[in-house]
Amino acid sequence: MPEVRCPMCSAPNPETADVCGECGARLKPLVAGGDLGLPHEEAGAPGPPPGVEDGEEDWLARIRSQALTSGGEEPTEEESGESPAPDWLGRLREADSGYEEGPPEGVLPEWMDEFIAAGDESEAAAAEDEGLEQAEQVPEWLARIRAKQAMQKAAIPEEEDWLERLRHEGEAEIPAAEEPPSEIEAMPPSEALEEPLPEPEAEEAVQEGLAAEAEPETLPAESPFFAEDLDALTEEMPLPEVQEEGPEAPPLAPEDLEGEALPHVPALVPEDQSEVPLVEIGESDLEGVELPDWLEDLRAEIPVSAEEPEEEVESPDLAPATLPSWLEAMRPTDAFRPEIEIEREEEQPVESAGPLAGLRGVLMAEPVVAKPRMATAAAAQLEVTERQYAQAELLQRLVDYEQQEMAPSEGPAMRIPFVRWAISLVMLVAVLIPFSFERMGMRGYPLPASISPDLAPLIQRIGDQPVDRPALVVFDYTPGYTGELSSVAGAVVGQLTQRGYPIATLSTRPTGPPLAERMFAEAAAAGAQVSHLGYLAGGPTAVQLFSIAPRDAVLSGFHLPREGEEKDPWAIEGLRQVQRLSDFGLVVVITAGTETARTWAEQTHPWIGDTPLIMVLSAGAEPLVRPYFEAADRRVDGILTGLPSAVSYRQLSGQPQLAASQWNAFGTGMLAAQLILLAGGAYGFISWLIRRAQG
Amino acid sequence: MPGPTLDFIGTIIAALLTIMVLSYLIGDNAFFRLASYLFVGVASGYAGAIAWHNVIRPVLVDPLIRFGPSGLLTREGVGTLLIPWILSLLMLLKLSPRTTRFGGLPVALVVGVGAAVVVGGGITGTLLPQALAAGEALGPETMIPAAGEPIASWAERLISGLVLFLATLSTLMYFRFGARREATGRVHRSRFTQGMAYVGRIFIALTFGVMYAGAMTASILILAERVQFLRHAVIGWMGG
Repeated sequence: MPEVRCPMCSAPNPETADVCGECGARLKPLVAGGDLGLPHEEAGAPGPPPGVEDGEEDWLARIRSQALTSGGEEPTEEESGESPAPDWLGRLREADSGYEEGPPEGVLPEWMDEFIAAGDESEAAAAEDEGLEQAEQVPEWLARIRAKQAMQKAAIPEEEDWLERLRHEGEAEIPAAEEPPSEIEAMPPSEALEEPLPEPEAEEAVQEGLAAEAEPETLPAESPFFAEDLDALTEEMPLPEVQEEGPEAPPLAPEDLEGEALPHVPALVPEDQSEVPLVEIGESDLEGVELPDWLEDLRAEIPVSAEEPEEEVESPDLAPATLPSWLEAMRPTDAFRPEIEIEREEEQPVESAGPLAGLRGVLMAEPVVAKPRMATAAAAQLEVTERQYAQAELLQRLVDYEQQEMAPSEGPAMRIPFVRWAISLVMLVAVLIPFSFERMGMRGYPLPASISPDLAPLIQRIGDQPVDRPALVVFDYTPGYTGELSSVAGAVVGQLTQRGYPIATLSTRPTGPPLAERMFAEAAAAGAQVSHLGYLAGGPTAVQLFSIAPRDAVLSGFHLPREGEEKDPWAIEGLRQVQRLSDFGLVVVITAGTETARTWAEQTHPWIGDTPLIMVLSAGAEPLVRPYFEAADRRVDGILTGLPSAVSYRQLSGQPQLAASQWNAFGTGMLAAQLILLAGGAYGFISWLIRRAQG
Repeated sequence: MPGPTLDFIGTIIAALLTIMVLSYLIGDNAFFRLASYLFVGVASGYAGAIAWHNVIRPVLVDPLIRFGPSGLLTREGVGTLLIPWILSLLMLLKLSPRTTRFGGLPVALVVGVGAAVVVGGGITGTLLPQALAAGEALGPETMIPAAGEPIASWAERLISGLVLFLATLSTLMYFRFGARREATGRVHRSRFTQGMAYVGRIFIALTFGVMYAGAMTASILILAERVQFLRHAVIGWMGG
């Protein structure tokens, strides 16, 4: 039973079926002109399609029958060894073989006229052996398009079309397309279109071509036309134009086929575009063919361009150059008119300047030079990252900000420092209250019960040193720390004077000698032997020099006794035996700075020998000096810091205590400071909780 | 003028200056500025006088007067008198912009010698002893209890040594800013380094807290001493 393959799913269906049993697609399209049944593939040879009247011979069937007569039976796909074609190709084949209604016998279609006119006899004779089979598989509309393009290629000299050269370079990989038939090369391009052959001659040409089919050995194995078709059909790309542009060309959209949408190279655009021969595809040619969707879109657009071919046939010398998209992207796009209309000479303006003044028809340089143009596509596409964009925005803001006119700034709002006043008032009241303890009947703060374990060794060390060698007391603090250090150092100085040490004072600060004089004023008045060596200039270098050779470092004293002012300070009693730092019995450094304490610890250690180095420090300097004291190889032999330690020192050394008012004021002041710190911490914590609750 | 009168005037001036400085508690005012300018001016003048009496005169002037100009060229005078004079005069040339380049020599000498002394003292006096002390924190004497030593004493010494070693190591690692760069370009420290740096930051915060507490203690003591001085001054002025 004859079967009909569905054009959509290729499923076999009974010949009488109107729709496909598998997919429901219509098997018999509603086309005027009779029943367009599908071919009987099982028959092996194409017969006249059903529905065709007896009087009308299928011209294509005749050709096929002649070919079969001369060449034997047409092999099937399996027999020819060809790979199965895609579905869409099968549908195209079916549509070509079953739907096309050829012209009556003896009448050649228009495309055949052009085909013959182009002199491509080899193409016309391509209906031989495998060429015949492929011709059956190629739809007529596609063959027409390719034939037209072949004519256009032949009509345009290759030397003038650089784009065609590019295309040929792309086609160079196709062996069959390398060498066009000699007939095409020999035939002038213009002759093919300007002198179309009459129909009898065309028929003769067809007969000659068909006769040539009987001699396949004399023809090239593959004509360019069919080689191109094979390549185009085996490719999955729907448009033959895309496949001809080489491997790098991206596929063209169907709408690009429209003549209006195609990009043009201005230099290649002819003066009269209407003369360009376009593809002649009539609506009637397409109605009987079931086309793919993309081709249906093209079909809908064809009437717009189909109106032009009558005028275009007049001058087919030049064809609009179609640029591939990648080449179009490289083409500079100018803002000015891409096509310059050349006016008649009498209408052209007269040049008014330059050496060509007074002449007409002079090329105007203004459109090229004076008018701005857009940059090339590559330069216009500036790649900007987000970071660069942000930096550009920031720079723009800075520039804008610089250009802004600053409004006259109003002075800071006067704020009353209530908090500072409150804290100051609390602290002043706290240190003033102890003076009224006696009147109020209150007891003051008790003396510290816990004694630092470092105090006892210090007191013992000072107490055990022989008093035949002088003690060097260094005053390296500024007058601002006198209130603290005079109270703390007073304990050590009191022990030294109590034991009867000869005392020498020194300072690396200019303000140190008067502080030393003030500290020992009472002791000196009591008869203690005190010598003020004065100011030691030079910082760490001077300290090292003093450690090595004290007599070379200190040349004059400070407030020496009047009779000894002109003499060497080292000639004073008690300092005569001193030649180096180790000759001192004790070195006490009173300082408020860590740098000064470190300098004395570092620079004196190599030359101090067994002489103990005692540090009397401000409370803030202790943490950074204590490592020198707690190290196994000690650089500092004792530390005394803070008023509580000084009070304990006086207790342990049996010295008279400080005034109770000072000790009590210190205690209440510390209590007030701690309460203020707690209040501030609580305020900050509550504020943080409130801010967190408010989000 | 009798002495007690000078002491009394001195005490009154000191009390007034103290009140002027304390007036900064209210806010910046002219009295505070006047006291500040007075202190700076007096301190500078006093420093200049000390420099003349303790440095310039005994080192440069007195030898020149004593030995005369001929003493500059003697064998002893070249090193102790001529060179100090030349360096001092070159230092004076820095007063003029035209001749300031000649003062570079004594400045270079001072800076170079001072840097050498400080670096040498720092290495031998601070760096090596502190490093050895940190290493000995986990030495056998710390880790192994002595014969007959109470466990509490040994445990205290051991914990102290561990804390000292951990504090030293973590603080040093906090100031180690080396890091690895990933393939993504992100720079980060290892987890161990980050953890140790965090611990080191805690120890640094504790150190600064102790220093702040000491500074506050000193300030309160100074305030108490000044208030006590003012009280005595007022009592003395009132004849009490």
